[in-house]
Order: sequence, then C-alpha cells, then structure tokens
Amino acid sequence: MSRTQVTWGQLKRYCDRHGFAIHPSGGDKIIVCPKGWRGGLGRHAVLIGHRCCSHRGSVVFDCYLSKLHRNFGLTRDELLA
Amino acid sequence: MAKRTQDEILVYYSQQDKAWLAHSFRTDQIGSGECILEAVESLLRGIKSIMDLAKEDPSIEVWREATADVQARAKSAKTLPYEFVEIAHRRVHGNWPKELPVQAKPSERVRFAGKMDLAKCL
Repeated sequence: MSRTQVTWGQLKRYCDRHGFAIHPSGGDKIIVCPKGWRGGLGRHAVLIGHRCCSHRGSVVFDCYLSKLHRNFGLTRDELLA
Repeated sequence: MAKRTQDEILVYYSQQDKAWLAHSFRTDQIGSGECILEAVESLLRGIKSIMDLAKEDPSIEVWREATADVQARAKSAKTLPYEFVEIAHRRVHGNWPKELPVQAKPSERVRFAGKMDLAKCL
C-alpha cells in the first residue's frame, strides 16, 4: 500500500503554525525548529531540495520526511493534520 | 563550532523519490537533483547555508552523524572522484562558468561514495 504524499504546502503550513523557521538556500530550503522543540537541547536543521519546495503542490521526498522525523520527531499524520 | 570539516558522502539514485540523492555522513543532510552533480551541489549549498545560520545563531547544530546503515552502504559503492566534488564547490561559490554545463547521469543502479572538505563551505 503506498503511503500518503506530503506536499510542500502542507509542510510549510505545519512549520508556520508551530514556529519553525524556513530559510532559502539557492532554490532549496532550510527548516530550523524553534528553541526547546519537544524538550530537545539542540536545534537541528533540515535541508529540503528544490524539487520538493518549488511550489505548494511539490511532493516532499520520502528521504526528507524521514529526516524530518529523525530530527524533529514529525510524522506524516502530524504534517497532514 | 568544532573543527571537524572532513566529511564523506554517499550518492545514489532513489527509486522511491525518483531522484539522485547525496547524503553527508557528518551532518546527515541530504541534497537532491536530477543528476549526481546537482545533488552534490544541493548538499554543499545546504551545508554552507546551515553553517552561515549557525554563525549568527550558535544554538543551531551543524553536526549530526548519519545512521549506521547509510554509512555502511558506502563500503560497496564506487569511488566518487574528488574533482567532481570540486566542481560542485565551484558552482556553489559561483566560480564555474555557466556556459560550461556539466551533467553526470550514470546507470541508476550505481552508488558512489566520496570525501568532502567542508572547510570550503566556511
């Protein structure tokens, strides 16, 4: 069974609602979590490639969703809510 | 910021994402693109951007080890020539002529592993 895709618009909406900062990196984007995110001591960043963030309908690659989960504990369900 | 600028990367084609991915072992960041060079360039530019952000805000972490299974896949990969990474560095810093496009799109099943000097991103 294929997993539900997450679009850049959905990811950006989540970031905007929860205080994540989004910085440009050429055509790519860097997502940085807010300080103290889920009790963590360090603040990590996740690079998102330009093919996944060029417009709202861009599909975010599975590798980046896995990275968002590793760094920030984010799940697909949370991003799609 | 700790002075550990020597990094290794794994470059491979993701059937799931239908894209070339370049994965840094010391920062655990992933660049992506339609060819190997674009993926490596995306990774280097991203790491540089994160380093620049960390200079302004030291609470941002730059270093994070990639998972063991990612690093293990490098053992069976072909060697990525360092000159290739140099071209990506030059393109990130705007030192490569736009009139000279370079594209590397090998067989999709081939993985490459190579070294990177992240001091060039500083």
